[in-house]
Amino acid sequence: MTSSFAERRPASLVAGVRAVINKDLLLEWRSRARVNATIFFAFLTLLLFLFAVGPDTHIMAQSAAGYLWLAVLLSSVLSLGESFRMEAENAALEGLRLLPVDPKAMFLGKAIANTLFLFLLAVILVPVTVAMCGVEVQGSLMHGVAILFLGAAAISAPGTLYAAIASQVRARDVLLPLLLFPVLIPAIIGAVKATKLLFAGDPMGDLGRWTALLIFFNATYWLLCLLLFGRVVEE
Amino acid sequence: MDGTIVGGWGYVIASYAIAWSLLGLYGLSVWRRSRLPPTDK
Amino acid sequence: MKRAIDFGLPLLAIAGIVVGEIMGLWIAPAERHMGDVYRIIYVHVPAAWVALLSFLIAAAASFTFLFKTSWAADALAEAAGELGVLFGTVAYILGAIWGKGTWGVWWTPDPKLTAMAILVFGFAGYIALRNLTEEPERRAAWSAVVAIILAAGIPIVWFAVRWWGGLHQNQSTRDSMNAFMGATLGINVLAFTLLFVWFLRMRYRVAKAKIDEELSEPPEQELA
Repeated sequence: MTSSFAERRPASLVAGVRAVINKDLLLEWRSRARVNATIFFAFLTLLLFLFAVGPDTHIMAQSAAGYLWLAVLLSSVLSLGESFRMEAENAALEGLRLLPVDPKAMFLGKAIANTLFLFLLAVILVPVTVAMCGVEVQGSLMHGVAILFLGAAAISAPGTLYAAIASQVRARDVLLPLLLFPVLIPAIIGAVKATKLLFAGDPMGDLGRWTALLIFFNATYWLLCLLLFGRVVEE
Repeated sequence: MDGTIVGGWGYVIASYAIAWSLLGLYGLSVWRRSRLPPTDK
Repeated sequence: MKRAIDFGLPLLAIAGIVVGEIMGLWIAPAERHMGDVYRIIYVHVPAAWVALLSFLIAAAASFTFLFKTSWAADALAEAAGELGVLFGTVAYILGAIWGKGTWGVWWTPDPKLTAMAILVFGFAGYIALRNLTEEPERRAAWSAVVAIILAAGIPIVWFAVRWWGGLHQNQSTRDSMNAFMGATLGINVLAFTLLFVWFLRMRYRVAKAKIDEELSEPPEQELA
């Protein structure tokens, strides 16, 4: 019943996606205190990394890219979990099963909303990282934006799917990172390496290879999670 | 025998001991479970 | 026939292991560069191979389940996932000890070590998910999704870590192995595979029995 409804009106996929994005972004805007808190959490994480590593400026500069992405990753655990909390608390996922909402639209909408939030977070963290770790931005703006966006998208695709699963079980807080982190390792490696090159310069032209890794990761996981999401929210 | 690492039996014995005790314990546990009538988990 | 396998397989596996260990610990000569420490590979390599095989089986069974709801496939995935974590952990510990004994480091950014670690952690999460989900249909579907996502990541992980590890890759000992060492390794791999099949059958039995019992219970009333 659900799938035939969606098949009869393929144009509604885009409309459905837009509706989900709008709803989720509106909810985040309405609870912007929480959004602000998450952003401050990211700053705090960055700060703690630097305290842990000590005043050695050389190490701080070397590790800056790593800390930036770890701060984004840890914050994502909070924001991804949040994106399904509304549904979990109101048993809204069960309601959605009765209404013919295409799970693909739901996945795309939420994953895009999550990507936008994480991208914003990463963008905010760059000047903070530059200031606190004493690095410079040597790469082009275009490259920088691309890497930050690809990294955010890489976290969001499997993150949205796993958040949907975790929101429906006990111990959801630990299950999300437990499932998500192993899968993200190649993406984190790629994002950190690329960002490091953007900070420190790229004498050997390696940026292309890491960008390609991120693109390939995103292509694989956005497609895969889109196809599999239906099995995660159906009954 | 230049450049040969001398000894190292300690590592070998520790490895084998760890490996076989883990595998042995697991084997025992799953063997017992597969023989009992299904209770719950 | 089944009883013959039930009886014969464990015997064959244990016999193979004993023979393999004797060959590995006693009869095989010390290696040119690494002395006796290298003997760890006679357990490390078979364990790693079996772990990989197990994870592949789990992924294939999960894939099957998503296409047709076969509870046998779900039980097989559960069994293979768990065994993969077991053998993978063994392989990993032994790899670390070997690394310490030969190069003086517990760990290096070796693609194989890292890929194995990711799979082991990934499937540990898979097991945790299964333990936390009580309804069989959801448990099977969700864990199948997780297994497939992990499997899809393996090629990506491989390239990521290969590039990340840089130019300094650890040399394989296969260069300096003679024929007898190779044979010893082969026998150990075979013996471990038999051991694995034995464990897999037992663990599958446990998983299938649990699912059969769950499915035969009257359905609980859904809370409104």
